[in-house]
Amino acid sequence: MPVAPLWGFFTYIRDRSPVPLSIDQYFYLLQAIHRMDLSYLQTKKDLLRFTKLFWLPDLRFEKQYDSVFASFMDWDSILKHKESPAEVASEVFEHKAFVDKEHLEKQFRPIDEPKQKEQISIKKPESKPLVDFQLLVKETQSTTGVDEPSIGAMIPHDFVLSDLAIVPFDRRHFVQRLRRKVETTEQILSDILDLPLIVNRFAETGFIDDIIYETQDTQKSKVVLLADRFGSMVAHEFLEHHFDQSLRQIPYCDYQHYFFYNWPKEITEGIHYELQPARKGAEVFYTSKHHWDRNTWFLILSDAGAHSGVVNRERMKHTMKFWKYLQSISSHVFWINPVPIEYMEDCTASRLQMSIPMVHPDQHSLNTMIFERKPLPV
Amino acid sequence: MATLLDLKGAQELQVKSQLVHDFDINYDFKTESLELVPRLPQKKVSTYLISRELAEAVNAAIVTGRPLLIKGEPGSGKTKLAQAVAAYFYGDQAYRYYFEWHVKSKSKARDGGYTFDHVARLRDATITSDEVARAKASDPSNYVALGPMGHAFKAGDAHHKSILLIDEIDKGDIDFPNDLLLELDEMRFKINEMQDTYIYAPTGGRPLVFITSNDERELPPAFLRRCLYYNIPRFTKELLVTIAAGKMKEFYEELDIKDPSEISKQSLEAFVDEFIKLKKRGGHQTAFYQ
Repeated sequence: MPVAPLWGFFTYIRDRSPVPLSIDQYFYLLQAIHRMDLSYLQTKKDLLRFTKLFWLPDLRFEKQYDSVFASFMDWDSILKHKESPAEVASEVFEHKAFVDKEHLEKQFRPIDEPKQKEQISIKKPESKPLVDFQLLVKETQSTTGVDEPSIGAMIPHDFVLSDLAIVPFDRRHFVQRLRRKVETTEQILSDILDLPLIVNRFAETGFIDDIIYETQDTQKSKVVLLADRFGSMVAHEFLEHHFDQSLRQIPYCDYQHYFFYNWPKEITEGIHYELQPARKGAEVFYTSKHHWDRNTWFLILSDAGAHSGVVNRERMKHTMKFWKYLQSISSHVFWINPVPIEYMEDCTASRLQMSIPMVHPDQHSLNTMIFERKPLPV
Repeated sequence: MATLLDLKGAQELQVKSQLVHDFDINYDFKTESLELVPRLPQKKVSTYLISRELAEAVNAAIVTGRPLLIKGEPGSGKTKLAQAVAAYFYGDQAYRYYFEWHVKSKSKARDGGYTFDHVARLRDATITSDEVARAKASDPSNYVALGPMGHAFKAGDAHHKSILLIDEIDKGDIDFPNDLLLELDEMRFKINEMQDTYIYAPTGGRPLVFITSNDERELPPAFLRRCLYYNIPRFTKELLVTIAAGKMKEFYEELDIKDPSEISKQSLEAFVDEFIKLKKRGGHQTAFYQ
């Protein structure tokens, strides 16, 4: 049965790409393979470059793309940037009659390793073992003598700490749902004449009785992502990135992204907070209530000290204060805690979550957050 | 015409400097054809070096019919590429098939397709004493002017692929790329003022679209999914020497000096070294060194 060339690699990269790839993008590559003379594609490096034309829209992700390619091809040299003659020779592929063979990917087989890459298009290579949080906890507990089954039963969440491939929520799904909520369209008159309408009116009536201005759709919605960074949040950096990428996709939305460490620094009591902009080179932002309005959605991404295992009263005090500050602006304030409540023992986060509703960023909880939770009155 | 860029086994393809005819272009809705009136003076297309990788990207865009999104540092030749490809395929007739759309902050996606002169129509319609003007006002096609995208859709055919450059797309409004999705996907757009008249590219004659971006703004994923991508890398010293040699030759030819024997490879390399030093000293993070 014919196998689609490079389909295996496409699905592999698609599952790991920070930029969503569509099936059409696979077909573009397929078209190119069939219609171009690719006899000069002789090394894996050539193949890598060629696939980037189709599947790497943003150079920021190039290293990530390279490493995924290398892991798929079991090819370390790209990461090490070695190009010794022996290595290059080992990467030379057979390339005679590229389009004649049924399984095009067999063309990319290294001469020296005839069997190793035979099923390149359908083979999904064995991934390196991921660090499964649940297993990690179990392992730790078993070495410390804590009863393993009870811990296992206590943890319903099955997620991985730092692997982009297995994120707890689907970006597209999240955006589609959130955008329906945050987009509030309002039509206002612009100062631009609506010439087509004036002409049509004139054609109908023979005179112009008033000047008609264009109406424009304006979006009043704002979404602010406030991310806690550094310390234990390093393990959840990918989540911030994932939220960032998702929220950027909401059209007509004034999206802002800031970060802080543990809690935002209060500059003037109850009035101004200092927030660090996530965008490189941007200036520090000092909050003021008039920057935002009651339609603004605030998403706070923080573990609230869940990893520390201690109760930090100062953090509790400042966090509560900031939470109330945001709630005084808008009722759409949500705390997303990457650490599930079930994991928390007596710590800052577990105490804070009694007053601050925290949601775990899985599909179900985020849906509930967007649709079901009734915001507190302002 | 050739259908793909052919490097004939070389590492680079040099498109030589040449003069090309320029045209005033109008679209006649009655005959559904473009009218090209030659315009003087001729335009000059500069020497351009297309690397093997870049040629591969252009060929992939040709065979797939997808727009090629080109990024790269200032001065890396993003904008000139489209012109060079047009000169490669069509020689001095390049401007019959090559169209440029320079995006501005106020550009709307519709402007690339067409503009409608409502004011002129209003004026003609109100001149009650001029029967000709009033008759003209009754036909909206008299007030439609196709934009570069409209021209590109109509200029090409199955044997002559037209070439459209959408320059600096990131300068446009935030909705600009998304508003082009249908146009770039199906190569057609609608003229609202003319009762659902469509302007579309002929079957088998999808224009070759080059889109440049300086990365000032992220482009929406839906738009990116419809493109191929190529980032012009920083120039190596060797490539700079080759480019300099081409440019010097072009310079001497303009002075009508046929045999510029005084340009040695060593002097060119020394020139390029000085150039790189100058750039580095000025702290310019440009495309000119690696």
